[in-house]
Amino acid sequence: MSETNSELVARAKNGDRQAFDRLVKENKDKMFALTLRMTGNREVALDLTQETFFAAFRDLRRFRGESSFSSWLYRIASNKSLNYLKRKKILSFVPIIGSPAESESYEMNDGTDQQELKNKIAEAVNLLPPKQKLVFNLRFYEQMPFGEIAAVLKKSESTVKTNYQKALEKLKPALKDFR
Amino acid sequence: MNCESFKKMISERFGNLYLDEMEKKHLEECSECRQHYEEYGSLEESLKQSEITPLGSVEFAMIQQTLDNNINRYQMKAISFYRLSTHYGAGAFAVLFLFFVSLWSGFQYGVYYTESTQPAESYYLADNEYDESEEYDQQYIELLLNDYTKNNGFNSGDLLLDELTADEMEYLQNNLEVGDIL
Repeated sequence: MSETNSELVARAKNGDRQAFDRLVKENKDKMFALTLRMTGNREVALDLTQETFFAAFRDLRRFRGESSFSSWLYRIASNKSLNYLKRKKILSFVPIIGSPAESESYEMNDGTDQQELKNKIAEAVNLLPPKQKLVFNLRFYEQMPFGEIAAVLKKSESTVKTNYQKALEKLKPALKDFR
Repeated sequence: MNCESFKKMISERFGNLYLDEMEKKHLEECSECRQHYEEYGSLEESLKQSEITPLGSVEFAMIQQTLDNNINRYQMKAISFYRLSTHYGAGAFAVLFLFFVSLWSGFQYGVYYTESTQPAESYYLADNEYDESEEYDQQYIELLLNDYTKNNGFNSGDLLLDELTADEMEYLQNNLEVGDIL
């Protein structure tokens, strides 16, 4: 953890709201990107990002500084995303007549081949099992080392590597037509 | 380097693919690994195109607003809980204090009552205990006796029975019992 970050965390622990707001600003983009890639829904990602920071504020005293503050936030955001996907999976068994289908793509702005590829990628990533998807997003998009992912998920490094390899094996045939 | 370790290395470095000299040499010699590497390289390129639109300022303002509301509500709850616990704690302390005070005063009254209703302490002296009042009384009695005998013209220890006749003495010896006062 950088000196500035640890100082901010210490100040936030003592009830300094400005210090906590700075931590929120520094980490908001990373948390939003992860929750958006995990859920595929912008509105849900906004909610989960807010919930992540609120949970961090509430449990700040429990943060012992053994990992970096952003790793701790990643853990909270990961759990919130996994819980959301679990709830959604349960709810998907109960169809609601007349309700509009939830948009699962990141962006739906243009109809070009490029956009089609992006949608296809998002769809392929969304089809991954939740834990493999989480490992893939943390590794590929957040460029997190395997050791740190293992610490965030409280799994062994070899388990994380296996999850990543399995995710790639599933993505490869799904994106074959676009290469 | 064998094909298995090469493929394992490719999947571990996926997202930031690069090859060192030894791996490049293996790639030149092995067509299967070359194909594997090209497929993963292409997949990596495709996935990197999937960029998300970053969080906008309006969206962040929404997050910040909701977060502020939630934090304020949480802090209010914590404060009200603290106040409630302080009030109830003070009440409980007052009740306990009164209870112990009444218990203590009851105990004190009990001691006083017991002491005031006990017989004099001298009656409870054990055989081996020393009683100062007894010594004082004996001295006082001796003093009084000395004064009395001096005033009446005889000393303590004088035999006052010398004036009795032999019959009177015999009568006394036959009829007196231990403890009779002459």
